[in-house]
Amino acid sequence: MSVIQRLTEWFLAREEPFTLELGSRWIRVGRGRATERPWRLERWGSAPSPRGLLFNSRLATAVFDETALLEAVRAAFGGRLPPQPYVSLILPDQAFHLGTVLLSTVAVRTGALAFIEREIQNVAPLPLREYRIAFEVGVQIGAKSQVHFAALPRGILHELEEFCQRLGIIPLAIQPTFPRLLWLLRQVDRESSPYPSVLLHLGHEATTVAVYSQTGLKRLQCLPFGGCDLDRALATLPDRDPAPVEAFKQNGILLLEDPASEAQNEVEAYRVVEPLFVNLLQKLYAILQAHAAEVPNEGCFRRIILSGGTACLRHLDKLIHANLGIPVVALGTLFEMAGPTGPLGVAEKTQWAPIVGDFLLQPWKLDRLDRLAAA
Amino acid sequence: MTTNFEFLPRSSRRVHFGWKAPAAFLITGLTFLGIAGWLHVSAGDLEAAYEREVANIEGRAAELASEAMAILPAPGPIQALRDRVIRHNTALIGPRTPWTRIFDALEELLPADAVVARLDRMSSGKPEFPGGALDLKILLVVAQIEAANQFYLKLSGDRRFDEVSFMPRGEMAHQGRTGIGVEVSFRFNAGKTP
Repeated sequence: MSVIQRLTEWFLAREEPFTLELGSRWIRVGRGRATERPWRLERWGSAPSPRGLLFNSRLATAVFDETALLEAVRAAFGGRLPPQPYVSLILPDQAFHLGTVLLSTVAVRTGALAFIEREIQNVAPLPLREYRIAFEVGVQIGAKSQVHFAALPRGILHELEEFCQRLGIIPLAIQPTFPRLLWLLRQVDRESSPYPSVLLHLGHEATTVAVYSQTGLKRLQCLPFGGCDLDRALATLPDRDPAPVEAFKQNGILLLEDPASEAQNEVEAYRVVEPLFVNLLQKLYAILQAHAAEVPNEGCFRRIILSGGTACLRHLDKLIHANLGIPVVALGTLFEMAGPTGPLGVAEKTQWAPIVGDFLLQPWKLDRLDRLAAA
Repeated sequence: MTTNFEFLPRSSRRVHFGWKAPAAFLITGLTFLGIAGWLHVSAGDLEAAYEREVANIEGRAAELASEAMAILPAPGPIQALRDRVIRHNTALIGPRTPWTRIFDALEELLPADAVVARLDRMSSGKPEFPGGALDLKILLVVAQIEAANQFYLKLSGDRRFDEVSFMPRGEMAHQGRTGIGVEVSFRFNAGKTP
C-alpha cells in the first residue's frame, strides 16, 4: 500500500460518517455512537423515497428520478446537507445477486470466482463483465465449503458514484443491507446454541433470508417478496389508503392475534394478501429444508428474527410461528437503543437496524482488527 | 460479515478536508503573522524609546557635570588659601613635617604589596624628625624588584619629591613576609603639585 493510501486510510478511520440507507420505500440517514450501552443514534432523519426508485439486479442500471431523489436525500438530512459529508451507503439487497453455493474445498482454495461466475450467469441477464462480484468463504461442511456471494451491476455502481458527486457527498462504503444486520446480530445475539437462527429481512421489494449461527453465515438468499407486493394486493380493495401496508402497520386489521383461527379468514384484507403470505412461507420453508438437507445436523432452527419495515406488520411474527413452528422475534427486541429524543421503540429499532448495524460494523475502516479476526 | 462485501472501489476512497481545516490554518497563520508584525513594530518603538532615554540621561549627566564644575572653586584661590593656612600655622606653632601629605603622596605611588619597614631621616640616618624635616629615607619590602623599579620611576617623575635615590638591599624578611628590601631617599617638597 502506498504512503498516500496509508494516509488516506488513516484519515478516513478517524471520520464519523453518516449512514445513508437508500431503500425503495424510505430513505434513512443516521449517525450513531456505540462506545457505551445503550447505543445512541445522535442524528437521524428519514424521508419517503420518490416513486419509481428501483434497485434491481436484473436491470443494467438503477431507475430513479435524479432530482426527486436528490430532494428526498436532502429532506432526510433535515433539508440541508452538511458541507461534503462522508457517507456510508446501504443499498437494498435486491440490487445484488445474492446467494450461497456449496463448492469443493479444493476448488475454493484454487479459486472460487469461476464457480461463482457460473452460478451468477445462470440467473444474471447481463454479461459477467457488467457485474462487480464480491464473495466470502463460509463454513466448511465435510469436503465442501460454503461460499456466499453478491454481485452488483456496474451500471448501478457508476450511477451511484455520479449521484454522490452531484449531491456533494463523499461515499466511503457501498454495501448491501445483510452484512450490517448480521454484524448487529453478532453483537446482540451472543447466546450459544447448537442450532442456527434465521434472519428474515422484509424490505419493500424483496426479502432476504439468511441462516446464521455464532460460527457465521450459513445460507443466503433473496426472495422476490416485499411490502410493495402487499401494497399492490391491498390496493385492489375499495377505499384504501395509498400506502396500505404503512396504514395496517399503524392501526389496521390485517392479521389477528391468532392467525390460525377461523376468524382470520373473515378479514377481507387478509384474503387478498393470503396468497402472498402462503408463497413467502412456502419459499421460506423450502430454504430451511434445503439447508437441513445440506447440513444434516442442523435440521432444527433456534428462532427466526424479523427485521425491515414490512416486518413491523402487526402479528406477522405470530403468522410465521403458527405456520413454521419456529419461535419468531423482532430484531428490535434484542437490543436497547436511544435516539436523539429518547429510547426507541421495538418497531423503530427493527426499521433502523441496518443503520445501527452500519455504525457497529464501520465498513469504512477497512483494516479494523476485530473484523479481520472475525473473518 | 466483514468488508468482503464492499463494492466501492478502494481507489475511489478519498479524503476531503472541507473548509474548516484550511480556514483554521489560514486564520492561525494570519494571526501568527499579525502578532509577529505587532511584536516587530513594538520592539522597534521600545528600542527607539530606550535610545531616546539614554541620550536624555547622558545629556543630563553632562549638564550636571558642567554644573558641578561651575560650582567648584578655582584651583588658584584654594592653593592660596592652603599656603596662607600653612604660613599662619608656621607662624603660630613653628615649622612641622606635613606627615599626612607625605603619606598621602606615597600611598598614591607605592606598589600594592609594598611594606614600609623603616622610616629614618636622610641626613642623620636616625628616626628623629625635628620640626620641618622633609628629607626622609624609607626601607621598603617589595615582592618583586620590578615593582620597586616602577615605584622609583613614578617617584622620580613626581615633582613633590626631590633628590630621589634608590638602593637595593637584597632579600629580607619583615613581620613574617619575605621580599626584596629597597632603600629609597628623597626630599619632600610640600609646595609643589604632582
